[in-house]
Amino acid sequence: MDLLLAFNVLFDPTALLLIMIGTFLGITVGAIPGLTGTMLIALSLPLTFTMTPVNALVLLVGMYVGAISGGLITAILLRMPGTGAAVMTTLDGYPMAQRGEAARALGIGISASFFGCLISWVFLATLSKPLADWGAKFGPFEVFSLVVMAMILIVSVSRGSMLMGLLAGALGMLVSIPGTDPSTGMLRLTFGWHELDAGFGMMPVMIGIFAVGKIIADTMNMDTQMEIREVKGRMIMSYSDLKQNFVNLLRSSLIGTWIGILPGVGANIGSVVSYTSAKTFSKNPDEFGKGSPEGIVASEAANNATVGGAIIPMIALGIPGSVVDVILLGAMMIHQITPGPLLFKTNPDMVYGIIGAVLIANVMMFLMMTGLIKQIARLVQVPRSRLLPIIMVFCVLGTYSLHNRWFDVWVMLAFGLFGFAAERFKMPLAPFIIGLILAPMAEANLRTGLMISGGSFTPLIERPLSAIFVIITIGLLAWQLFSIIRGNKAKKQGSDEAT
Amino acid sequence: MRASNIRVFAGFFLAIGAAFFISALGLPAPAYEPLGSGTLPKVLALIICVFSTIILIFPAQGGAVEDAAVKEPTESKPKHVALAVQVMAMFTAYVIVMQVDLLGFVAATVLFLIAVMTVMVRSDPKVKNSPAQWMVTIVIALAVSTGLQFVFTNLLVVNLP
Repeated sequence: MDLLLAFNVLFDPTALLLIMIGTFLGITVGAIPGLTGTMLIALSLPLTFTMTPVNALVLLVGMYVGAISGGLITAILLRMPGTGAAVMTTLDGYPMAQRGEAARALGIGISASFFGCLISWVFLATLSKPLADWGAKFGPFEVFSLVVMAMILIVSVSRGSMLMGLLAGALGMLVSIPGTDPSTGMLRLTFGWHELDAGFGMMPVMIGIFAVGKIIADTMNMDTQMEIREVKGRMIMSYSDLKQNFVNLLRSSLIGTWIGILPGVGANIGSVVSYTSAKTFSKNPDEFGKGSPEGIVASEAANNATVGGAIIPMIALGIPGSVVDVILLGAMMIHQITPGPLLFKTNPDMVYGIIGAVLIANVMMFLMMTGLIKQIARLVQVPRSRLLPIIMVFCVLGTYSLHNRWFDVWVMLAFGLFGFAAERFKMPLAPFIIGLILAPMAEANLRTGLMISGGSFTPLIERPLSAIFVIITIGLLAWQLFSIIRGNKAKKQGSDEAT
Repeated sequence: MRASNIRVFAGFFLAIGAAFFISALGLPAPAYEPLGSGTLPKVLALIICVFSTIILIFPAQGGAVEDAAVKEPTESKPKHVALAVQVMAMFTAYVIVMQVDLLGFVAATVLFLIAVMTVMVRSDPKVKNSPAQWMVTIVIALAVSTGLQFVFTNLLVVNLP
């Protein structure tokens, strides 16, 4: 019955308007190659200071849903995915557009996005509360081992080298250390800077990495051409396409939801895994990459399904399912709300507001994209030389207005350079961000647990749930180590054969 | 990506890890539990030092070394490095000018937007460098700065520099 609270949002005109604005902005920004939903949501956070927590969160959720969906527009029309999540859509969407089926490709993509998000919403609405009830029974050792498992999991599935992933995770965790020790209240590693007493601050770091870093990269590629051709026809999936792709649609949505639930693993990986599965199960695997509707369905249903999936651990356990969820957690903290399993008890209106907002934003996304795609495609063509300088001003305003101090702005600039360098050197940023947000939680819980156990670590393996998480963590590490050794052997063999 | 560049990248993190490790040595000994405030930073700093050293010695383990077999087809070399440096220098100057109270938000933002847009437009194939575009630049700069000043000060009740 509590779930009915989710539909309260439907009767709140302000919330509805905010979801609509958020979804529209999300679609537009998601469609512009170079700009990301993460950037939009991080920069919009200061605008939510004066809003109620529910209104702030529903606006950001609207942006989240819109941004994941918008990427397909330019992926299909320009072969330039607006977001990383739409990369797989490009492989089949663009060839379809080239052979004059742009409207059909867009229709399939939009409908698959809607269906994927809808399926994941069902899981979000039904799984979150039981998971939160289960999570509320966790002791400090369970929370610690779960967080460590989440960290290793995100490193395991991140693109690029395992070593870079681990380095990124450790760096993110280290960045969270300076400031006040959560257990003793004493200052540590502030290097004499009193501005660091409260730590680096999550938002300046996030805005730096995801906005400033991206601005630098976009400036370097300023002359990338974006000319969108006119699209004619209905932007909706036909009945025959639906019939042919129904199983694929369902499978991809379930894959996306499951991958979304995994901590820190976002839409990009969801669409890749789903695309690969669809190709494996397809009767026409050779068509993939040449304009197969199945490929678009797999990619779009999965990447949108990760949205609902990723919100599940965020609201149930306080563990972000994706990088965007880290910002949503940040938004909660700014509004003095402590994320975790008790959210359902302490802030039911907000939790159900988020659940309702995902559904409403999904419907709005579908309506906007089917009806306004031509107008949105025109907006995408705003010159970067006009857009990027304005975003820079927003970056400064967004970080300065957090605490009215310039230190945060310098932190943002420094992490912007780091974010840019990390992208160039193929260091995955998700482990960094997840490490940054989860390290304080892991440390505080382990130290609390040790105080309770009289300094003994054995509860980590004595308590059943904690033991399961520890075993999974060790298994993941062993698998990664095995992959590295096997990869090195293969490389060596390859080079031997070449010589 | 050249191996020497990756070594510089890894070397930077090795220095960061070493600095944190040395500072963490000065943290007080644990009082209530065996870890105390120094263990996590020391462990993390050590991990960073070890991984950075591995990448320094074996740059290929970093995964970004040029390898014809694994190179992504869409990857392109950035063309406007000088432009990016110029823009970031302007961005830094914009922050300094406001921090030292040389200019207020509106004046600094108008000047910053005009300067950056003028520089960027030269490399943007979608915008022709004409007098009309100059007018557009000035109008955007004025509208954005005064608009944001109004929204943040009056609607969001946030003090701007």
